[in-house]
Amino acid sequence: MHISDGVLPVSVSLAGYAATVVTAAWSARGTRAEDIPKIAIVTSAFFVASLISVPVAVTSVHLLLPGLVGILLGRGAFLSIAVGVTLQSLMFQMGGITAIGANSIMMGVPALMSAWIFQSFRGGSPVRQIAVGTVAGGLGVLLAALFLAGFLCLGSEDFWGVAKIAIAWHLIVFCIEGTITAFTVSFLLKVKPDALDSPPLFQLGRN
Amino acid sequence: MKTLAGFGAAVFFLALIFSLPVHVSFAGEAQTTGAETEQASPQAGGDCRAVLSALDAQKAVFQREMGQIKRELAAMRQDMTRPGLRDVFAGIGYIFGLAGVALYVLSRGSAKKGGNTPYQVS
Repeated sequence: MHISDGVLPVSVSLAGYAATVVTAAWSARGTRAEDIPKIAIVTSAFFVASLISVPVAVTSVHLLLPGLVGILLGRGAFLSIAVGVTLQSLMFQMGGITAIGANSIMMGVPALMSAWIFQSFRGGSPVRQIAVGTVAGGLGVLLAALFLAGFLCLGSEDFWGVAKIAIAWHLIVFCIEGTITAFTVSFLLKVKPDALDSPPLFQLGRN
Repeated sequence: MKTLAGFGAAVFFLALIFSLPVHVSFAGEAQTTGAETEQASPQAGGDCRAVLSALDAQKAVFQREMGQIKRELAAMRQDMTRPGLRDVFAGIGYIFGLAGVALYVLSRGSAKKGGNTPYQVS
């Protein structure tokens, strides 16, 4: 789902970079030193997860895990995904270097949205947390597909056409990611529930 | 000493580069001699036709093998562009390195405020 070089017009890719820098700064302000090892581990998982490819029809798509990253990291998720996307572009040649900003926004903002959904509707009971986690995990990729369509639409493509194609290709990825998120959330609830208490997105009072 | 080695290396590589076209011209000569022989003596036409059909058979064999080699080349090219285990470890190392730098910067900030640093100013 990464955008390659030469697809987006220059203005859109520059705007993507600017938005990435601003959102990464906002994300970094909310992270403390204690969160950084967790962010590093989750970033590594996100980075490596894209190597797992799922065959769909004639080609294959790869896992993304923005939803899980958002649930685990909260506000720091954007930083993690920006670093992960940059390294994926440089090391794995997934997505063009000029499109790093756009790719980070495309996957980072859905991660933040998944984080918000999980933090808002979490509730207390384990069943509810697992259910909300599953939904947030699946929604992460769905929102990323919509953002992809939005970016390509800025590059003068048809929004709904691209959106339908992207969602259709990634239907199985929604299910797989929802399952993975459910298993991860249930495991963490049993073993270390503090891991799910991620930095809140919006603190009342100071930002 | 270094300039001598460099000059020797340059001569070696130039020899490599210029030796390649020589092989191509040999193949060209073989084709033209076959055509000239047929025009010269019509009585040996059957002989030449046999030679030509043998050449055609050889050409078919080589074309098959070239096709095989091209397919293997394409498969190898695809294999090479796939991210390998090395790239995975490189990326993970990079991530932990960045995290380490971030932690160091943050710890320096808190040390300045009033924590204890190893080097005390007496």
